[in-house]
Amino acid sequence: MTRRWLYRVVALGTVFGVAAVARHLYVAAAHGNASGVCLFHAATGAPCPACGTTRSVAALLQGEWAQAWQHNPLGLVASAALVVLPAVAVHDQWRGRDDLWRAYTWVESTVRRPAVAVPLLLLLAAHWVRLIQLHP
Amino acid sequence: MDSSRVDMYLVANGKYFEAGHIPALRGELLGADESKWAYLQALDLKDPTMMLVVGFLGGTLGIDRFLIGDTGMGIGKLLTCGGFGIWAIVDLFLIMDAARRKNFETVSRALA
Repeated sequence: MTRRWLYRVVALGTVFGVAAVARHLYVAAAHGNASGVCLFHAATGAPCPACGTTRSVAALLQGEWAQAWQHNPLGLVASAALVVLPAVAVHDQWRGRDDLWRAYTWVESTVRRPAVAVPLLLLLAAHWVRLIQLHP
Repeated sequence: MDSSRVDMYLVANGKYFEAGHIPALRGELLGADESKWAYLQALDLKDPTMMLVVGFLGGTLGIDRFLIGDTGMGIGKLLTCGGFGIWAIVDLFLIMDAARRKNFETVSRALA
């Protein structure tokens, strides 16, 4: 991963994220339900840890916090990321800074430490089990 | 390091590296101290083919990226269902070269 690719990935992720939420809002309004794009869900029938993030962000846009939490708590993280990451990226490009890249490398080195990685993995496992129980 | 030893290493471990990196890697190995040899043998290099298999099985969860040490990208894939399913497929074509590049970085760091 190079510095330039990080900005490309953030740009692409933002475009796809916004498109997915817009598509969900549109399709959900028209048909009452929207089909997912998740390969894991298509293959196994069980939700992956991120399944429901689009629904969650869409619910948050409509001000329904409880619904957003119910669909997938990671949607709150995704919503924050969808606002913060593009903003920092644009600011970096505008001012010629590299805040986003330094934050990325800091997160990478921090998350690799066992003291951080193990609790995060346990949290993720608990979150996944809850998700599978809610939407089998 | 002794050139016959370096060539032996490159023949035995060629599959772990990109063809374009081999000349640079050879130069680094030739310039390295003899004492690095045992350390070099113990390095944990990732098999690109194995990473492709992992990409097929756990690509949507970002496991392939986590394994080669691209933790940030792994988190990105994990939190987006494998980049809306698209990144997981694109990564099937990128992951082998990414693994080879990471191996080169690992060896370079070990020799530095």
